[in-house]
Amino acid sequence: MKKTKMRREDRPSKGRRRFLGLLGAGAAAGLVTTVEPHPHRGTKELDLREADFYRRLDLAG
Amino acid sequence: MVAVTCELCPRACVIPESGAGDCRIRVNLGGRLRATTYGRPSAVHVDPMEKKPLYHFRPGSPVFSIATAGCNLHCLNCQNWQLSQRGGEEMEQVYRADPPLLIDTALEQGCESIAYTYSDPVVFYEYVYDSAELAHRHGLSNVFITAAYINQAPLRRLCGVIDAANVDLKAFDDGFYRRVNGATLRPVLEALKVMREEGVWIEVTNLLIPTLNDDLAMIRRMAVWIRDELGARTPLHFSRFHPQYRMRNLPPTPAATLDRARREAMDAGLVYVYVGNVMGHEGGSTYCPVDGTLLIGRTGFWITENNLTADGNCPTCKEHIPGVWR
Repeated sequence: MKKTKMRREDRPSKGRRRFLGLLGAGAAAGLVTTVEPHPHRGTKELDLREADFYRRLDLAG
Repeated sequence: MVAVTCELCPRACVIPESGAGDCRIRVNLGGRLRATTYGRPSAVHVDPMEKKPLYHFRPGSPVFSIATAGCNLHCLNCQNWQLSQRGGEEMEQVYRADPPLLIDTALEQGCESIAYTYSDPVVFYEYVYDSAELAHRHGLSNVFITAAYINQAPLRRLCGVIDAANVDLKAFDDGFYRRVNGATLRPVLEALKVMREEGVWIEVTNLLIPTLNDDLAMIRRMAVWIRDELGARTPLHFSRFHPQYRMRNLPPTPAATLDRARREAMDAGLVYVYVGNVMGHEGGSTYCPVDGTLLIGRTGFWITENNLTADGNCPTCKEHIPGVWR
């Protein structure tokens, strides 16, 4: 899967990423990272949790 | 074609098949709404409780703080827009942490609580609920840091597993909510009342943005509402704005503005009014409302002294300070 790289000016600073926990605080805690596929494509094999509060609208046509 | 209506928040997004809600992360796949960031936090951190900010809930304790991508608000001044205004697949980093692994990791890190925070945890509701339920079974507390833009039915269910909440009340003005946050005021006020009814410990934060929501008359109306609906002893935090995201045209909030707001709210009858994001400000500490004794001294997110008794009383006059102290 192609990974989209953010433009440099859009990327948060290193300090900001550390503050947000984006610089591996989770990894330091032993969590494994993943690259997420776009939810609109190729997600059939993913066991995504069904939401709790919604209603189906069966639309004609 | 089967569309769905999301009934989690007041937006009530009607989502066509393969489409996402306004929050970007609740997606209609084959006529079923899926929470795509479930078990996939993008921010994981151990913070002090004071950073949330919660000043009357387990002071100084480490809290395992998580967030996923997505948000149901679109604040022009968002501090965490790199996280909140994206879908999960746009994040540079996504962890895999289903609730059992999350709880194990929090315990390994020596935390006493889990905070659902940074972006708005309303949008990763199912992840919060399942994790919070499991956290309780392992003796951990749950704190919910939110703008409270959520419908009452899901909120009431969530309150059963949440111990404390800091609610970001953006302004006491519906027009401000519509212009700056892409939301509305009334559901937030209703959510605060529900949390109060359900026995969740509540603290309220109001970020003061120069010229937009620093009008003293409005601040007084907000303080009076909090006093009457939530109780005079509900902690209120006035927080300093810093220019960022799409609101870089305004200066940081002057300390004098925060002082005036604090005095106004105290004049209106609120007992515990704090100033945040100003290092070393006296309004960052907790004082006894009866004899003025310094109870908890704070600098930034750090506690410099804690003179409360174990039961949460003033050591000199024995006045009980409301909160969860152990």
